[in-house]
Amino acid sequence: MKRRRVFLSAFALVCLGAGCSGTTTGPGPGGGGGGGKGGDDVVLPPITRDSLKRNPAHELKCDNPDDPSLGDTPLVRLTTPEYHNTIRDLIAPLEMPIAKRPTLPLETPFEGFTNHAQGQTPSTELVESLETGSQDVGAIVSAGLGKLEIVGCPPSGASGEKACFDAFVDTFAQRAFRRPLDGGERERLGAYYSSMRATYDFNDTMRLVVNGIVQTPQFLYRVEYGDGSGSKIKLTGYEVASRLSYLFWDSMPDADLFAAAADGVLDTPSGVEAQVLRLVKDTRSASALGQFGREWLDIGRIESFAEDKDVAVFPGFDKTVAADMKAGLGMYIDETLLGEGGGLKTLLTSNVGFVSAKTAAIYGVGAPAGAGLQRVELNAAERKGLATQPAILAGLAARSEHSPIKRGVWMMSHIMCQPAPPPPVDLNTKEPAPAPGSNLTKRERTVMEHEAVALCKSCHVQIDGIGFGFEGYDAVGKYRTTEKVADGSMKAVDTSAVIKETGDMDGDYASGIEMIDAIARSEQVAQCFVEHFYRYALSRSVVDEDGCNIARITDQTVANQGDFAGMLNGLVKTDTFRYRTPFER
Amino acid sequence: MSNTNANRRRLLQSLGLTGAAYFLPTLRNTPIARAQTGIPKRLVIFYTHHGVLPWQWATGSTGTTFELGPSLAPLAAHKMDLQLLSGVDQKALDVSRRDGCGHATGESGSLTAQTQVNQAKARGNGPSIDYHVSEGFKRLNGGKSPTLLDSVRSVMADRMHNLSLWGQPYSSPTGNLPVEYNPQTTFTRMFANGVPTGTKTTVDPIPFNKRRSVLDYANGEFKSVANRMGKYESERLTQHSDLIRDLEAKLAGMSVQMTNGGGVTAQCARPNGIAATSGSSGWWDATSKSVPLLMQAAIACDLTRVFCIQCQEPAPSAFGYTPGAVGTTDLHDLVHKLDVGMKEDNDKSRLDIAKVYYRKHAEVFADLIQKLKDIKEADGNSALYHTAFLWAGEIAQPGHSYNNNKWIVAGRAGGYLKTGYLHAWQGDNVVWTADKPAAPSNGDVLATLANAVGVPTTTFGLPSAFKGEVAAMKA
Repeated sequence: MKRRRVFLSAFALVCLGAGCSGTTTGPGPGGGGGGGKGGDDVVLPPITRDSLKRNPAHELKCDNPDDPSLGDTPLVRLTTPEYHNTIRDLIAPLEMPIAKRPTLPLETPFEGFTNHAQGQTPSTELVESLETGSQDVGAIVSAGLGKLEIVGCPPSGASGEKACFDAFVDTFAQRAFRRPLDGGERERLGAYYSSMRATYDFNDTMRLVVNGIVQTPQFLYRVEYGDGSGSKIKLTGYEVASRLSYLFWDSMPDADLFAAAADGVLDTPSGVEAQVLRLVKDTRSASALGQFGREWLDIGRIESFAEDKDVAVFPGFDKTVAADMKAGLGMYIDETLLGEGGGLKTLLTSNVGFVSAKTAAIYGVGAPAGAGLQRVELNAAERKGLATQPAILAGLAARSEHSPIKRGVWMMSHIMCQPAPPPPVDLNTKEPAPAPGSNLTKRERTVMEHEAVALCKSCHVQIDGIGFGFEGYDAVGKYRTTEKVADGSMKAVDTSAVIKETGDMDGDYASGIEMIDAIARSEQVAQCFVEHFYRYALSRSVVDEDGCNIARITDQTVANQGDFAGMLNGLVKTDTFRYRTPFER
Repeated sequence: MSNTNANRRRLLQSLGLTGAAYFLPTLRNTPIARAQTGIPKRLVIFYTHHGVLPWQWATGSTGTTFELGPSLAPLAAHKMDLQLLSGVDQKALDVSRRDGCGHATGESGSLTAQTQVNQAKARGNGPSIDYHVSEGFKRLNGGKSPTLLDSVRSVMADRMHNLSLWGQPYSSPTGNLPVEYNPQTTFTRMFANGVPTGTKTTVDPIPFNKRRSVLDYANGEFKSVANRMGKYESERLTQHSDLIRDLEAKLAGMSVQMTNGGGVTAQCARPNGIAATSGSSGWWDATSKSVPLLMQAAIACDLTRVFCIQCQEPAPSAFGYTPGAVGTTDLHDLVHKLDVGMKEDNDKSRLDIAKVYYRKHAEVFADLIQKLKDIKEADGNSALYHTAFLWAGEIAQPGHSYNNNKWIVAGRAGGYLKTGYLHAWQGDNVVWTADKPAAPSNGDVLATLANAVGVPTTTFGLPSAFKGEVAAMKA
């Protein structure tokens, strides 16, 4: 069967090749499967044909719902935050001063995520930075060996040195490799220790040993061999422990996870589930999962645009206002997606805001009492959900004028998983300024420009229809009912929206708020959310073999009103999370 | 089910990326590449107080055709060794001015490019550039300082008066760094083990061999893991492993070159006549003569590569001032009674004294430059050529401002920096001004100097006040 990446550019191919007809790729050969058994005799819920057809732009395939395929199992390197967190946890209670942290090269996202294995090509700069940082780790650990509570370390004399080293291998090195060392690894490390000790003193030797350990692939990569044979190779408990800890904490397993791995607890879905409940409650999960939210929604890039506004049009808007807006967005995502009971639906529909005295006017509320950002209820008739957060609206706008195109494109790509095709390469995409004296609103001008050219219209009929739902917000994200046009007059804005040829959200909406409600109800959007998280959690693209998993997790997500924790749990219990494909030789 | 198409695509993408990565110009800017001559680079800082008299400083627009003003006249012989930076903004202090525009706030931010911890502690919320660079030298040398002393902070000041009232510009992440008031103490630290000889190498080659051994061990693990995994995983690990091999080769070459080079020069000698002072009378004569000699010996003998000299205020007698004269209580009061906007229309008796005061700074700076020029390196250049020598201060001018500072950099840091050049990022405006888009922050300048001496620095100080290295300062 030919593999294809389900998500990327599927819509683009359809749109460009079939004149935006909405043609779909047709049903897969599977579908409609009944309940079955996973790799651990787990009874899997049935998959209906409807579950596979939620997104008409790319129907899911599920050849064998009783025993879903795994898809790829790529070799993943620790990301920059994961590397720093792992060093932190590995050497605790010793500390790596922030000033000594190596500055690793900027990571390039692949399909939106920096942990995607395909974007992790090593570079000279990376290797040299890691080498520099490793020297510091070695120096800190060798100098503070006594604080690591390793039996026999530091040795009281030369006769105790070997015992200290052996204990060090069983503790520190094991934690660095995130599993017990095998015979060969132990032998090579021992040989290196002996050869260095023949020349240098014990402390110097241990410094070099630690320096070496944190430059090995076992430390820098998430090496997964699995245990067994066949088309599905079960990951060891230690490997599952690492998958969990890096997914939820961006760091290495803690003592409980190591113990669970050693005891075989992580060999069963129920054992994994118990750990998930523990991990997700830990404060570290907010940071790691928050990273998912930021990358999924492209928050970093959006925020960079939110800073740059024309002060002649928006007097008083400066970087401090933008900073408060951005901080408010971060708190919003924390609460609505990652907070208690948080999830997709809350993220898309909540009307809370985190407001400071500087941003209150933009949010349309009075200045809150107290310093800093305060949680307030926003006017539900004016704002609803993530897409109406000022930082998002300001980021998806030009310096002085809002942009229905940018807003529509972002919604299609990040929320609906139906990315608009890129504009023709020779097209000037700078949105034209209004003609002097014009009495047209931005919406009216946009319609006029895109109606006039068939090539534009074919895609903008979708993009603009969605973007127009946000006409009620200016370029800094402030709610408004009128728009100042080029002739100086004020005209009422039209926030009616239309979604076409996408699927279960299609319809005409009297306002953007109504459109948001429809989007939040959409099962297609729920599937999009699952696909984004699936890619993030597995550090790879979504492929055809993932169809069964995506369908099942989406079923659960829909049933649970988009509950994030439920979706997490659904994913980590799949075979894909707990098994790997055999190596290709 | 076949994985062929996906895997082929993945392989091609991977190879494409790899090809591009090989041509990235990372090596050109790495410390390893810059250290190929074997002659070490140094950072020297001369730190003075009360800014400058702007109209007495220099004239000209950006470029090579500039004139030194009366305050800088003592530097005439060194004009082509200087890079004048007019208009450097201490942007981080715009964020938090704890005591208005006070000296201590300026001291906390000027060399840290950070905000002030609090008014009671004249310290920035981050390390100063001297600490950053000395730690960088250590890091590049396997965690150990390449010289006997990490850095030296020597003071030309009346301890009882000046530093107890004001702060120090030298900070670590946890507190102010110690300074030495008594030149004899510095001397003892420098020469406790005798005088290094010219034949002694200054960089132990062992750290490079150690680093290579570590890489060799790590590479063995890469091979072992690659052998156990599939062909695609193995390709990725081999890419990484090849880069480690490259680094090993570079370290091998560097080891040889550093062994043959080194920083001890023919001028290395124990300086005579280093005075002892406890901050009582006579301290200015003692420190103003001894500290430059110590700096020269430290560089010539490669005892440190980071040397800071804090010239808080010369003694009043050094510039013809008597406290209480001309309607002023002390120098601080005298300087503050000048209105920089009035230029030559200020009270003449006060202005004349101030002019001598500011010129005295330039005299000391010129003496220090000459002492670096007198040190000859193995490549025929002077030590000044291999040094980034910054003259900075806590505020811009007597009226107090953190913006529009006029700083000077002498030396080329081994060819990294340009000289004989004036950057006029501001005009004649010496009052508080709004943000100037073209002007760098002090963090930008300090990061440039750190890079110039071989310590890779992609950001420094308060991130929101940092734009990046100042390309215009580079040769």
